[in-house]
Amino acid sequence: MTDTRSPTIRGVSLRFVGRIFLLIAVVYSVLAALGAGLFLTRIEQDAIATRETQIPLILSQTRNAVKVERMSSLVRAIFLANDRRLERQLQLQIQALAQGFGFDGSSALTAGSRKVASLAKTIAATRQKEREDADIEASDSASAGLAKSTAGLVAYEEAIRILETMGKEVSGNSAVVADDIAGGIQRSAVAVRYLVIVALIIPALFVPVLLLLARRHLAEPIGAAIRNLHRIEKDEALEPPQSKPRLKELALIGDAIVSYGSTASELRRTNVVLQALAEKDPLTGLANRRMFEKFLAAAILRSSAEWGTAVLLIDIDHFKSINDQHGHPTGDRCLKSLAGLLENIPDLSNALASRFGGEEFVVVYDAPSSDHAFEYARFLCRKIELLETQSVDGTILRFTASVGVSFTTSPADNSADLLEKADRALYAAKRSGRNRAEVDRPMMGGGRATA
Amino acid sequence: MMRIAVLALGVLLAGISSAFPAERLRIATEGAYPPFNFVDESGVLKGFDVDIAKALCKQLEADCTFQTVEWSKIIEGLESNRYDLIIASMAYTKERAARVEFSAPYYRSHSVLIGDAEKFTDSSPAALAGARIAAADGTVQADYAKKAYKDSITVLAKDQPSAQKLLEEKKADLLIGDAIELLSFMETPTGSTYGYIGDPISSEFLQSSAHITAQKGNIALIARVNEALKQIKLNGVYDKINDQYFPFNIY
Repeated sequence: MTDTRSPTIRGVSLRFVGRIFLLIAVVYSVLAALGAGLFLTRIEQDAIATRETQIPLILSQTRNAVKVERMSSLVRAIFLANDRRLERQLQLQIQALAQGFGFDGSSALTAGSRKVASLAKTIAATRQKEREDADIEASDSASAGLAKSTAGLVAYEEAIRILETMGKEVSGNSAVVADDIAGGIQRSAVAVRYLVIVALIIPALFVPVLLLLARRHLAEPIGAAIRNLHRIEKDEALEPPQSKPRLKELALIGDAIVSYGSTASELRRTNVVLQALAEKDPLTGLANRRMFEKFLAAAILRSSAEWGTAVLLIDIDHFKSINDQHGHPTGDRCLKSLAGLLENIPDLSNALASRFGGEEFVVVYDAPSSDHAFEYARFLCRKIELLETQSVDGTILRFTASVGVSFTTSPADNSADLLEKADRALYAAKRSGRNRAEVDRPMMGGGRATA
Repeated sequence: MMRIAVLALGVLLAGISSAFPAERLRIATEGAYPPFNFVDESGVLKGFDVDIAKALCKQLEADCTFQTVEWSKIIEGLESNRYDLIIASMAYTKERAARVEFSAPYYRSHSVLIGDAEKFTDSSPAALAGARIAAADGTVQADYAKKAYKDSITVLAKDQPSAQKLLEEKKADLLIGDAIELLSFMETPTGSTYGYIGDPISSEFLQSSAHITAQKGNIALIARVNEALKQIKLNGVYDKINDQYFPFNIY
């Protein structure tokens, strides 16, 4: 048997494993929270950056767009104007507006606006010169009108062309900034999406692993232990462990069950031996006297008017001389053959044959009457007479036996009395010549009868 | 129970609001810087700065009182707690920032030289050597003229209208000032003979932003002013005021 009382168990304890899992869960939660926090902080920072840098940038582009638009309409106005004072005012406004472009960085815009301002100045100056020329050559108004349109128109068209370029640059800048913002937001969104997916997938993957581990290291050892318990119950051979459980506690339980199983089967075997020792006569295999007494007491308690208890005390006649003539081994053979006869008593209810001691045997059974018992005793005498036993040296020998019968229908009787009565009847049978049966018959008025 | 709680809360709030009446803000401006702040013929304080100040007061739900203070003494007055805010087109400079708290800019501008545009076509210091340049004392433009046009003569006046007068009376050849302010001047009959000289001055020094200022350390008030400024910009009040004074947005 394996010694499991001082196990040197390797592996880990369930508690330790539990703590490890708890630690993993806590660490994972903290990491996930930190990750989420980090990402959200980044998004927040992006949002702040957008508000603090990108949006002012967009606002400045919007301002520039409005200025370009405003400048275009001023240039249009100055081209269409036909009055010295109005032209001057518009020209000053264009100049003041042009200066404003210096604020928002773009050198192309600043340069363009200066160019437009100087073109506006040219338009105004051209107009003034034309008016002065017109005063001089008042008569030739047609040619003056023509000159006015060409010189002014060139400057005007140039200014409008520049303004269109500026407009395109402004809207281009706005588009770039807007694209930057959108790109940043998209990147953050993608990052958050992946974070969330990963954060969800990891536990989802972890759970099946956990279940597999639980099946492998919890359910299987426990199942094996339970199967072994069933086997112990049915006294079958134990299932050898396929592998030692990794968890200390389960390994201990498994080992304890194996050890319990071997102890149990040993006990069971010892029990069989002990019971046999306690209840059987070792030579004949019949019940011994102790067993007989137990059985008799129970039989008396069962007794009633219909079914009483009969005791047939059987003693081999002249057994001492059989031993003397043929030797003890042959004597033992005679005892065994008688035991074999008694063991196979037919047609008796609740019968027990036992060796009472020496060459004395006793049969107890539930009998309907004293007469039935007496008849049966006589039947036994005849059977014993016919019994052939082979002696050690090969000769066949026969022997006879005398039988004393007692009977009771009262559960209040005690077995010692009943036995004593049977013994008296046996004595009477011996005295009357042996190889016969006598009954201790309780007669009305306490008298005794012999057959 | 709920009703009693609501009632109690109401009483409490009423108590609080009566214990803290509408805030009073004392505002100072120069009153001599058209069209930003000036006193008209009937003695009423007007101008872009004044309208912005009133819009801010409304936004802050404050009772405001106005006073005009000479430009050279305006910071001093703030420091001696004669008023809470200056709203007078004050440009940001490091020297001023050491004495007062600046708000976010509420408009931006640029300095220019004006004068006879036919006589002066170039605004470089070399071209203007010997010319007399008028400027209002204590302004960023006066400082710039003294520093950048060393070969010219800087003629200082006490405020912008006086400086304009120097130009009109031929006591100066040129006038340095804020482009927007001078645009308004040149659109008046008296200013009609002048024009911007040369290209716009592109020195960063002369790109200026106008701010509201409060006493040094009064960051809480400045924060609220900034918020109110943002609000009037967003709700269109600012733009409406802007359009009353200028042909384009000066924010």
